[in-house]
Amino acid sequence: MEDERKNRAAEDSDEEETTRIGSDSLASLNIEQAPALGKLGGSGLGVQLMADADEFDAIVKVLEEGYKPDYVECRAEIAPCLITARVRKGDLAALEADPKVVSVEASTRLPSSDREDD
Amino acid sequence: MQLEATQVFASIDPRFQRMLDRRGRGLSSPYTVSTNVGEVAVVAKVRSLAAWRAMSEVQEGALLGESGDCHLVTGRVPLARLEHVREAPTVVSLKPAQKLRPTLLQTVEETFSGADLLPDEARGQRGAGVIVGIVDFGCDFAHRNLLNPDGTTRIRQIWDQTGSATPDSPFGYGRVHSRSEINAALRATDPYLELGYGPRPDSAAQKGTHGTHVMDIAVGNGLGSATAGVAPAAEIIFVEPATTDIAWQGPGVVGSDFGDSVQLLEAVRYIFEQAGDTPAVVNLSLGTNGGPHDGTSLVEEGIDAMVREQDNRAVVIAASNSFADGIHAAGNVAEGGAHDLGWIVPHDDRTDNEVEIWYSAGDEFDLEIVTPDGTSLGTIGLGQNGRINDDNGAPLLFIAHRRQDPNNGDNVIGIFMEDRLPTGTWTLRLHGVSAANGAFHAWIERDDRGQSGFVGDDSTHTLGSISCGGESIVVGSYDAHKSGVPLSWFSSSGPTRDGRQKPEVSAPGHSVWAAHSRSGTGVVRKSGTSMAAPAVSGIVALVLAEAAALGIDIPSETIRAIVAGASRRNPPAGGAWHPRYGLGRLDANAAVQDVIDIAESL
Repeated sequence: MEDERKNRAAEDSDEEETTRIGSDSLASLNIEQAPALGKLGGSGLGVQLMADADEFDAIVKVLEEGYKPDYVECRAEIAPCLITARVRKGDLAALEADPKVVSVEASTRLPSSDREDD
Repeated sequence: MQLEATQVFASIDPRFQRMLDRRGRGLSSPYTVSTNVGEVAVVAKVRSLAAWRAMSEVQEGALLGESGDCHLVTGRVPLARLEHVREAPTVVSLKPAQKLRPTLLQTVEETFSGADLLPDEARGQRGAGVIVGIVDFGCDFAHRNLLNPDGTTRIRQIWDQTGSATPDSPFGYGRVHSRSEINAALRATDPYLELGYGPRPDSAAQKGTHGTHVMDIAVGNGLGSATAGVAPAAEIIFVEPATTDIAWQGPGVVGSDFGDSVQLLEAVRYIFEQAGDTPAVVNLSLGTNGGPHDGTSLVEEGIDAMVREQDNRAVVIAASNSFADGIHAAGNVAEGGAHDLGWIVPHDDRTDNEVEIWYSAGDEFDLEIVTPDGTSLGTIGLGQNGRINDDNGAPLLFIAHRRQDPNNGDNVIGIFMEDRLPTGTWTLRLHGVSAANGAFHAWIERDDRGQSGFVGDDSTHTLGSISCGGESIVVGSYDAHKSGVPLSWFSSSGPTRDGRQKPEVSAPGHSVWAAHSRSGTGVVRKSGTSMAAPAVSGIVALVLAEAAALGIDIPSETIRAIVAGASRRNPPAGGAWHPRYGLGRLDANAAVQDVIDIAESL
């Protein structure tokens, strides 16, 4: 644990140089139809990037109290119609098609709410 | 070699210019004996003492004397606000200096939560019989403020979500350290090594862990630092949050303390399960900027459900610290018209950037994205994605324009910009394809290493991502060290996107001195709504303890009504809800008295 924290601190102090890309070197946007993931809630960005991930943690809202989709790794029952789960990319289609699943929200990061510059 | 022109505020002492330049290049100033990270000690010549003291950016130091019609004073100022302070009409000059005055007493006295400040007939024994759950980073179980007089721990459990799993780990992960294990560790030469868990040592980037500081404000007993927190007899359950490796993590989050929303919900679930029928309040001093801001995110829905399922439960959440960061914009798009949203990515920003735009389901917008040099990269319609990848297939720019979020039915646009893209002012041009409502709100995701901002000055609706729920008590911050108790310059503003009045209350969160991890008895100063929320959590613990002592159960709506009714005014002026103070500054005496009155009325 301590080593990991030291490594994090070391990484934190690294100054990484960024090579900028000029506007004239940028291609136009490649526009495509979004995948049909209507039950994935939250930020459109987070939803899409999670959809690209192999697996992710999520909060799943279900229609019936106590229902736990057996094709995902359910972890905790937060409320009668709300569970947390580990979702694999391959599970997304099943969640989308499951009539007892209302919505799926990918985990989002939450930093502490202090103000280090004051 | 040529000199490089820099964009640093020039009308200021050259030493400050150098600090600002370093800050602009992403380097943080380390803490010193008298200043925190990112802060500078100053001596100022000012025209008006009152105007100087009224600035929430200023941590007041000493009055050194008079100089003509002016006053010489010392203080500390966040580097981020140095230009603002220097340009204040009252400031004639600004130079480096030092001076400090430590006290957590301000929190206790200002909120009337000290033993001698509560009602004489109060029976709540300063929080005895109540669990205060802290979900935060770095629990110093060896700090004397968290020990009983006999040297044993006041902590029932620590669930370290980052620890190695055991067969009985909650929800299959992390490591629970029981009271007996903590007590055994406290008898060892190195308790942190013995337990296999401890707060991170101080570093150039952090002086004292956030979690120990927060915990002390809510429940510290002052045995080490001589100043007790708000509910010093409460019992503690601490959860150290973990996070999973999510796809868009980049250098901007390396080395930072952060959890994630799934683990947060599991932490709250764990605390309430462990508390059982014991009254419990959970403090969450975490948050970020994104999200629908209408209470419909599933993390907020989960918190609401857990609070509602049983009487004598509450969750208190920090409002967030984004008021001055330019992270929110709002406007209207007419059908057939367009609205330009300027998004400023600073020239020295070396981090990824993210924006979310939420608008009504009955409307349809197109988003055109234009680079700082005026090049249009394309237009993304509702239900489409747009991306530009680098030669290796990694996204440089990614935009998802999603139809009808399943939780609130609204449309949402998410924009991710990698740090290699050009800096300057990007234009997000919203075209109104159909616009029955036309209104939109946009937020820039929190980025402590290089916050981008919107053009314009709209600091409303800057509450944190988990601070818009229906049952949570959300807390803003003010400075209790100043006679006018001014709002902290950073304390976020309501209302929620759907117009509800949050934050509910405010409390001292500015320059709060509380337990310094790994010091045994010391204190350290921190600021943030993070420091205001635990004061309210402590007061809620006093309320729950009083109710328990009087034999009454109080549901969430009653707890919220007590908090609302016990909030003092002036400031805020008048009687109406204030978007940053909320309904007022929470008063523990009045809150406990309200419980007594309720019991007598039954």
